[in-house]
Amino acid sequence: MKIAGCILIFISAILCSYYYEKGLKIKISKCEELLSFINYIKSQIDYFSLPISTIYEKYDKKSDFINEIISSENGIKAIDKENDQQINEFFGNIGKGFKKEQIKLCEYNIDRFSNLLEKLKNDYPNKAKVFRSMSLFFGICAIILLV
Amino acid sequence: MRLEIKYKEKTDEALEYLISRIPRELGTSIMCFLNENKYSFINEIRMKKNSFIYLIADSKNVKTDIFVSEACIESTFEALCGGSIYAHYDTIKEGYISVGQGIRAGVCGTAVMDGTLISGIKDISSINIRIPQRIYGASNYIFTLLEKNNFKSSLLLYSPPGVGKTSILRDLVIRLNELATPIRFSVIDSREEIITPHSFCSNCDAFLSYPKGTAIELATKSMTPELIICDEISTEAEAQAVFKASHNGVKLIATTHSSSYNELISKSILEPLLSSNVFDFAIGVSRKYGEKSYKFTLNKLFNEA
Repeated sequence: MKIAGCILIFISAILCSYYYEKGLKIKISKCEELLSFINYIKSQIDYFSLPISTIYEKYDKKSDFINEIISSENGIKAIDKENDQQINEFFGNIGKGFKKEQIKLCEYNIDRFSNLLEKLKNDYPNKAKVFRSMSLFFGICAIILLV
Repeated sequence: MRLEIKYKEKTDEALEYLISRIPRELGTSIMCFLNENKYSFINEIRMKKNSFIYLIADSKNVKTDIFVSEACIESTFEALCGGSIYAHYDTIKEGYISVGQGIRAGVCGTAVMDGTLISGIKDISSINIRIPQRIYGASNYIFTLLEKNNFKSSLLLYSPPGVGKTSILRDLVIRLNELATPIRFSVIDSREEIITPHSFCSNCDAFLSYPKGTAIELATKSMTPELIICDEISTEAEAQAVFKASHNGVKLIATTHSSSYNELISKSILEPLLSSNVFDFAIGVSRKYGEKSYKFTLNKLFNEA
């Protein structure tokens, strides 16, 4: 029984670190999709002045996340509180101004989310290592206490 | 020669479309007002910031009890632009938005200037939404005249603004589209007011949102029309394009603003057209306020010098 318990604790610790790493990867992936989408929006407004609904329709790299952004009325929860607010503000203001302002809005957000993506990518290896180590450490401590 | 034509009109489809486009609360208020007061059609919805809406309904000015706040007029403006204000920049700087289905909304506010050019508009203060009508029989007289001359006459319709020249053209486009022996005709519809679902035509070449003068030239060069229909000749460039088209053998039906025949022939931009017999007839259009009939006055221009 004790051995079974130890194995369970050990597996739980491993799974915790796995899910946390996965969460980080999902944030990076969402950030990449968002950047790609905003770049697309910017180009369509700049070159064709297409209405925003047409731009959304034409975008061919729609994922669940992008669909959620397009259809959301109450805002989305994707990365963290501060960046989610920025995303919601961007999609709330897109279309509500003339071309120059819209391009500037897109450029500002492209800059911001590019920096965020770089930071997430740079931090990922270290954070992943830390969580793996910590999960393993707590798992082993729990096993030792049990045994 | 004077002739009176009575007409019936219908605005249901365009009105329904408009209500679906504007903010829900505003649309519901307008429909409730119309249903309570049993108006059969409306021509215009006039909105001013922090004021009550006026309608032109059943050819009468009507004050409503619907108050328009600053937030309401801004959200209506955004809604009329379909959520994409930048996409309507070209027309907004001209003072209007083409909403679709022939509906045109005039807008004004505070201009944002970039040097001498208007780069945008802010603080919207007024919106005037014109709803197209299908006026059955409005063009009967014009159509009969054209038919008598085998569609080989050029006509110039004149009247003060707001009488219904565009509605006549709209009805005429439908009549021409339904001819058993089709003719090749182009419609120059710069403000997207002539071609509507009512007057959708499968037999005509429609130039939508083009600058008028350019569209007339393009139509003449590329679509080989027998007839070109064009609303509101108001500039020298447009008059010049009409002149060139007629010298390429194209017949024209055009409109212009003028209160009387004397005012028409004294307009400097039209002088080259009238003196060169570009138009065979000038037809004055009038309508008494509140009445449902047009009066036409025919003036032969051929040999008019």
